[in-house]
Amino acid sequence: MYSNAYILRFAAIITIVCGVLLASAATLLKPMQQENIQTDIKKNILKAVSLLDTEREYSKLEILDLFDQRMTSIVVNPGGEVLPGLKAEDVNPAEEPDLLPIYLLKDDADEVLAYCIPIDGKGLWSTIHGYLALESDLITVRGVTFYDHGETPGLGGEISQQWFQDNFTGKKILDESENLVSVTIAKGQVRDDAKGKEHLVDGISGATLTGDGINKFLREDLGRYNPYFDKLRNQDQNEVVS
Amino acid sequence: MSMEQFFTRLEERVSKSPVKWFAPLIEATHSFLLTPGRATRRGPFVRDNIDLKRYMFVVVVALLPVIAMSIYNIGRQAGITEFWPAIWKGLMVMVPVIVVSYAVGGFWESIFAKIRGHEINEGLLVTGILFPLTLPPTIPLWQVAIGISFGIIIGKEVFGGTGMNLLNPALTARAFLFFTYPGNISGDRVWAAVDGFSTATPLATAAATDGNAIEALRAGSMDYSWLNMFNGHIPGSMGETSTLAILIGAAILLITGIGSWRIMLATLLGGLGMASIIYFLAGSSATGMMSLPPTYHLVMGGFMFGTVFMTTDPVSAAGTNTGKWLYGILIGVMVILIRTFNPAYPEGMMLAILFGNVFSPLIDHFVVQANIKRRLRHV
Amino acid sequence: MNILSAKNMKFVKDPLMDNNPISVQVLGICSALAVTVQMKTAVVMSLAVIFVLSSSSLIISLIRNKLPSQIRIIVELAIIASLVILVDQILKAYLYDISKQLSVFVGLIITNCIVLGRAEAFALQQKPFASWLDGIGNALGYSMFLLAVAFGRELLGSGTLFGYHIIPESFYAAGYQNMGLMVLAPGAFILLGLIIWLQRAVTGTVSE
Repeated sequence: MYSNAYILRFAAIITIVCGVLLASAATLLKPMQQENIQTDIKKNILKAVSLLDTEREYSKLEILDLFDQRMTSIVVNPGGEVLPGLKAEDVNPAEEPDLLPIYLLKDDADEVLAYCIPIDGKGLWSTIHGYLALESDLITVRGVTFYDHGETPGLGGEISQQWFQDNFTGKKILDESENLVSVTIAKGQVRDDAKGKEHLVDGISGATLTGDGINKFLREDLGRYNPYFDKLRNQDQNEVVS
Repeated sequence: MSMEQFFTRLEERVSKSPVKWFAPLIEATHSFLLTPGRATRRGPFVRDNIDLKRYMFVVVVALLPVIAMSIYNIGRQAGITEFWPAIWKGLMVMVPVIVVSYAVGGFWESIFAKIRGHEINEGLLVTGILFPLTLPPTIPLWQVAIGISFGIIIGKEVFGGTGMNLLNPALTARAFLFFTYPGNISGDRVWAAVDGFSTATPLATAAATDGNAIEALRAGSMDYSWLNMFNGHIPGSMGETSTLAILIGAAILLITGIGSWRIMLATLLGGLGMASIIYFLAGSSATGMMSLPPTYHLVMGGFMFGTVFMTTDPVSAAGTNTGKWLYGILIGVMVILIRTFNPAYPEGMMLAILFGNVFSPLIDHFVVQANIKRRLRHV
Repeated sequence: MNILSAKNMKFVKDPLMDNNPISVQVLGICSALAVTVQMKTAVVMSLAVIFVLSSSSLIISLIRNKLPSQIRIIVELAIIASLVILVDQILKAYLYDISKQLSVFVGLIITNCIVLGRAEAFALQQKPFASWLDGIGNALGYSMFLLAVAFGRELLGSGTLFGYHIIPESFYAAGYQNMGLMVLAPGAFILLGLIIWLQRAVTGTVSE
């Protein structure tokens, strides 16, 4: 039998050795892990604004370079006002639902080419995460990505496929009288003569409920950003008038 | 030379020849065409002069009205209104599926019969026809082959063959296809055997609507009235559409005593009971499946087909009389629960029966234990 | 001492076939189901288990004479957990995409019955080198099945291997489809069952 003192001493030594080992490993590796998380986010944003060639793989460095060159970000509130000094990286939408990050794709002349917002919500089985990018007219969808979900493989799971995401490109989120109608995933193929065709996206046969979930949170998320987008749209018109 | 002599001689010769692995196949044909010299000793419920083959044969006869209606309906759903062309279209769709089902199923049966050294038994006779009837008319033939292979191997042979299986092999095969190729078996477009034509089944319509289910059923391009659904002029899996034809089959099964009336009645009562509870609790403002009157559940989807032909499979059902009641009620209740509350599967019959299959040994166990306990009290 | 002696080789060979932790002892199949959708994740998971199992067996065997039996389980767990967290941190830093797919299942190596089982059943009584070999052998036995299941699941479920398309486009054009069931967990159960069936049919072992 071992004495209590020996057992305590032994446990203490094991604890200290394991603790020091893990603490130092975590500290050493932390910067790289953070960078990975950021790269992953940036990759999906770049995909949404259609800057990435879907056929090839990009290295971490390429992604970061591309993002730094082309993308900036702002944060707005639900009233449509820009919060000065805040960047998208500074806010955590899960904890502060009133801070809305927007990623901007700019050209060399500092003109905004695309606006990209995070979208997420419930599908059929799981929470779906993604990004939606609008063209500079703030009406046309430039691209969309869904990168994290747990939908049925072969049915709802097809939302992460490129062919499905490509269906969104070119659709309009506003109707003729400039009301927000969002885009809606149809049940199956959209007929050529369908009413409101420019707001309808070809759906996945057998994945109606996943589509319904996406429709719902797309409308909600676009609605939260709409005050700001409305302001921008009106500004543009005023400039044209004056 | 009589048929009997012909087969006896053929069997003798083949069993000595290099192609002796054909023997089980010839034996099977022999006993299918003619009464075998001996009755089956074990297996499901030998009584009177009914053996396994006769038993299975009655089920196939009971399925004939369903098959006939189904052939006609496939043609009608494909948009053909005249009688004979519709029948022709139905035959063109259905015969290949049945042939593939029997051929591939028979192939596996003979392989296992050969490995295990027993004769091919007649279980496939029923499985091989039940399985095609649970499929949509547009099912690709190679999927039929994969499905029946899975049903025979995983659903039956891993447990030791006919009589030993836990699950209904035909439904195991369908469940496999349902989860493996969901687009081909649960999509909007799979129900009519003609391209570019798409109608949601009554169940899908009722499940998807935001309003009252009855109104949604009447509003679509097809008129899903109760009578239409009862007669079977609706899209759906090949065998499930016509409740009328299924009831004729049910009568045959009940008169011959092959199908258990307890299970059929219990499933019916369980389903009606659960549907009534939901319907009346939900009230008049309910939408979707909640607003579907109980009687509609009986004529939609696979409820009646499953009740008559699937739940009564003596191997995978409960064996005791009390157990049969419990088993039937469990399935009936589960169907309605799945249909009403699971958003992804408007059709609940397949999953409910498989669920009941899994529970039937447990139900029997407790019924037997309760019986022992009660009898012990009188000792 | 001969490193490659028959006795030492038996430590590695035995758990590969006759005493395989998955197919014979049916241990650790939880993670075997979760990480076998793709070859890539299965390979990384295998490497992680090989590292954790061999190192934990080695370390526990090294301290076995000093280890008070009253607290041995918690000490074993502390050592295993530290190794697992180390692996997890390294994966997050160097193989982020794969670690995202593996998610909690690297962490769950801690609760993998094989690891604690070998520590208790073998490393506590045996010399360090033998324990290390035993750890490697068992981890390889585990990996073998992981890779076999992942091979079937990725090929049938996605038509790819290591992310490269294996099934030609012409097959899809002709109507071939990926098997959705193989991507779901039951697909792993069915494949695992078939492989075990095959193995037992070949070796003739039947458990009661």
